[in-house]
Amino acid sequence: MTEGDTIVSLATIAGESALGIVRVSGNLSKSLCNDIFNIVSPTPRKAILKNYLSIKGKIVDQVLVIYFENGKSYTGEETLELTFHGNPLIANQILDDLIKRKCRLAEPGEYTKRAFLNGKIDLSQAEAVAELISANSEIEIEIANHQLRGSLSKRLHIIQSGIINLQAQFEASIDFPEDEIKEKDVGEILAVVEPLKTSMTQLINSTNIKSTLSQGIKISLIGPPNVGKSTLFNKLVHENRALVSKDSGTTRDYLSKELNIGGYKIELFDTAGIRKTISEVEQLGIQNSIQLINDSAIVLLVFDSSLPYPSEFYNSIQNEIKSKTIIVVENKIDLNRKLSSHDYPLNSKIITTSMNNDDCSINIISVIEKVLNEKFKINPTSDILVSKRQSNHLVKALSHLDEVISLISSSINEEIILQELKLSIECINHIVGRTDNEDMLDQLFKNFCIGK
Amino acid sequence: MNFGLKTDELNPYDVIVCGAGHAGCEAALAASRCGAEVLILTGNLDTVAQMSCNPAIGGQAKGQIVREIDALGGEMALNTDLSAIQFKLLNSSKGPAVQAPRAQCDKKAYQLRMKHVLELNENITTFQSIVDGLIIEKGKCIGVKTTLGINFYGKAIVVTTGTFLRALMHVGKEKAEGGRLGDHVAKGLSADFAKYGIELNRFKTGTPPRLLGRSINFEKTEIQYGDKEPTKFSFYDTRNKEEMFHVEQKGRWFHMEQAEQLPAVQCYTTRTTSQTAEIIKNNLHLSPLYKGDISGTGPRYCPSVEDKIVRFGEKEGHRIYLEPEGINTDEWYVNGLSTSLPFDVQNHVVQSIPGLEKAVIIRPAYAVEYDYANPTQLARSLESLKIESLFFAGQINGTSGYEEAAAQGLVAGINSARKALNENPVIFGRDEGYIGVLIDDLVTKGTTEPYRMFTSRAEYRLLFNHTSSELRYIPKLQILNLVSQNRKQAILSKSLVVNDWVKRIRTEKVHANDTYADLIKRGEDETKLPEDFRKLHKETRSEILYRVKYEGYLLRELKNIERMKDSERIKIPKNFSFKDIPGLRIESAEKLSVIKPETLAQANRISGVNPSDISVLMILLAKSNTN
Repeated sequence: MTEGDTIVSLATIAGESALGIVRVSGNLSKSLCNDIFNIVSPTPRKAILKNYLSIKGKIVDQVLVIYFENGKSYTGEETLELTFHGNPLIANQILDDLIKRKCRLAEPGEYTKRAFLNGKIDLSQAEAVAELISANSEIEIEIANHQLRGSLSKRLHIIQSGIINLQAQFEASIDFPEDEIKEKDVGEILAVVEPLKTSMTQLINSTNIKSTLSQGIKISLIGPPNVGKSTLFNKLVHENRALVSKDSGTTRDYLSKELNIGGYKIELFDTAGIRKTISEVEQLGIQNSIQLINDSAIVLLVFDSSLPYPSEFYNSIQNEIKSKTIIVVENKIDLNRKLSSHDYPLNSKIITTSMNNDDCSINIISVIEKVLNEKFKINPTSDILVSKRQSNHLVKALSHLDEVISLISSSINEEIILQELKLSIECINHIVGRTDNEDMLDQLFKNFCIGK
Repeated sequence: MNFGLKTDELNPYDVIVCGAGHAGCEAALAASRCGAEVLILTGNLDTVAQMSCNPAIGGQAKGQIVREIDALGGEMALNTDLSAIQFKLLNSSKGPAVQAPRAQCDKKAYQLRMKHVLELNENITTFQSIVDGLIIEKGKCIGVKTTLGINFYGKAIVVTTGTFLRALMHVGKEKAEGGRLGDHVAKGLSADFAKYGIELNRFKTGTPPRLLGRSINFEKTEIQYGDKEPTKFSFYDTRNKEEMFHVEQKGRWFHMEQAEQLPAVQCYTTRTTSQTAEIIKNNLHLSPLYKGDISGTGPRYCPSVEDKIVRFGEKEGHRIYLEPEGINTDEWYVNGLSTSLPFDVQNHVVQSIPGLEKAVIIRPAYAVEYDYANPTQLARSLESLKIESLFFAGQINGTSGYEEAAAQGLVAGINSARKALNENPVIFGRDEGYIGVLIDDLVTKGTTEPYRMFTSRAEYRLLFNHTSSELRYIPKLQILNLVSQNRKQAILSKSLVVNDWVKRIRTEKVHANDTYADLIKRGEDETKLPEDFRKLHKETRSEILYRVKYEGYLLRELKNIERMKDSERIKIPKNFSFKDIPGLRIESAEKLSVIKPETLAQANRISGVNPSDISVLMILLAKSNTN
């Protein structure tokens, strides 16, 4: 029921496809054109190819932008259509970025509703539209209920009633000043809020895990040229996919193959060795390798242990691997060792091996599996996967709780703290359904003896 | 000018008010201010504006309501200020939005003054007679029948019968008919309401015993002083003396000298003991509440002492307040000791409390059950959805509290007069103040226990600080003749002064980096502000400081109001059919058909109506508006 804000959603299916489309509708459209694509006054209905620049200033993808002016779009509002490469990760990044720029994920049927309200759909269609919206919400509700019947619902209700309880505590001290309500001190309140926050954070994090898991975990083999990456790739996928030779720079583009390690869906990448080169083709391959580091959940850094430490290589990827999970593979240990291992990223796992060994891949696979388990292990009874829309509401709810904590520490009045608590509850209401003041009063009268 | 009573059907009153309690008095006065000729009927002229329960006005959320009533020209605030014997500002250590004035009143002084206000009003006729039936013609109420056998005719009728409908009082197993100890019962009306399809339910409420003061040992209790500097309910800064003391000037027996403060009194507190708990537990089987003799639902915020002991135990005892009922009597009200236990048990309970060992009960405690009409059967004007020209206000709508009743009386008074004079109803919004929240809650959500106002019910609570009441209702004063021209001008100029000062403090620099607002927000006091600020009235100053200090939070509330108003603007036609709407769930359609919301925003507040239902409605409303 908040007309007038700018809504955004994925117009194509949420999965791999050749192209994906994100639709934006509302009066932020024009300024987004300027902020994201540097297009100051877009020509209506003209496709322009531009880099999508995220709010952090990073290029997300090359995007085809079309701007529709007021009254000339599907919804009748200013609209943007962004066509990008059909990769769910890119779609996610774009949606996230647009939300950060004050857009809101559209409710089911909302585009059609706006189209109708702006007179873009014939009046005779009104009832059909009404039915459509209701059906869409039914489906959404059904999906949510299905999910909510389980532990997610329990967790959310615990959070919701935790916040309502806190609200009742503050309200009691405001509304019944003559009833000897014991006020909680800051420590006691924090002891209530912190577990709620932890619980919410866990739920939010599970969103990211969910999309990673369903789309496959990316693992890439990265290293200087001619250290045996392609040999390792072939061994891990059990076939001779990658061309192998003694000449360095054999792999120009990356190769990928899906496989299963320990029950996880893995997408393994063999990449071009990274070195300074004058070959334009090889240079492009190297750029791809670096991009892949960014996209990968795990990076296998492969070194030739018979060569000195390749500082030039390491310097060129140092930034990219900083926050990654790294497994270092020191290959060719059957030769004389010249590699010093002083400069690996912190917390790296190190495997020394030789590709000439037949069972070397077994060893490496078991290490990868161990790392996967540490990183993605889901406890089916306690971990819950939350959808993007739900997680967005949780993120907002969490930010209001953070505000509550900062207000309490600066000893601001209860009625101001309550404003934040109510906003936080409202966000959670979007996921589990409405609560109103009566729910708070129920808690209040249950917990406090009122009645001067 | 009235020459006696009018009983001619062809020459009806504009408005007839049935009942002269807190709702009835404000209804009659507001209707008369709106230009109506009013007849007010009461079963007993000696109990006009009677405080049936505690001898106090105001308190949390209620105090704010009384100030709003004053902003709208009502009498309750003036009447309280001039009969109060102790003032206290509650929550004075908390923020301005949740501070609330409260006053102990001299019960008789309160009542007599209010009665005289009615008597002095040239547009109002008072008459003692019990109303026991309605005169309905073609779905429209055109008059009332009385037990005297006389009928009165009116263009609009306001029913403010409080707890008197089929009222049944309980003391232990003893039962007596009547809405208040020593008073009558109204039976005929209930039957008539039922006949015309108005659904009635039962509520229960209770009142504690009254004690003889000289039998109390006050030395064993703790003194509760009032505030040295009283926070009054009426706005003095926008009235001249004549308006302030209108009764005291014109009244036959009232005098200006009396208007000076009545002597201040103290209240006292003590606690229940483990012995109290013991007595109650041993006699629980004699309580009609626990025996199941009482079927009506009671208020959770005002439980009987037996409820408190059963539900919360007796660990530290429960606090009891001793409050004097007036300065010309030695009758004391025992706040916190409401009960329906038998009289002998009441005596034991009282005497188990420190200070009350030898206390003599001069009026027993009792519970009362009564009919109320679920308020979802009303429009926001408080006119019945079932019978035209019939308005309801006060406890009959399922509320409790003098202040809640008075607020409804004011609204029903205004709208009944407008109905009689063929004018459109005036709606009080949730964004304007507690009165709007009260009315909207009642007609939209109904109530399952006697409804009392809490500040938590108001989503824009931060804007409803009591000092801003007059400023918030300026738009209403522009369309309604509720206050004198003088006062209206004074309110408008106060508003300008507040706005100008807020702007000045926000923008004017004290030194290079800081505006005055920066200082205030950092917690500096008002002595840092320009000299002439101190010349302003105290209430004006505190309003300005509040707006400056809480600017960010208040702006957020204002923004939320704007959002709400968007859907408040989408009106639902009176005869809109919610049946057979594709996509609208049956459950929602049923609720909407009963409550008949007037706007989309109101529909959205009905519990059980989903956002998707609202979307569907929005689309169909857009369609029907275009057609």
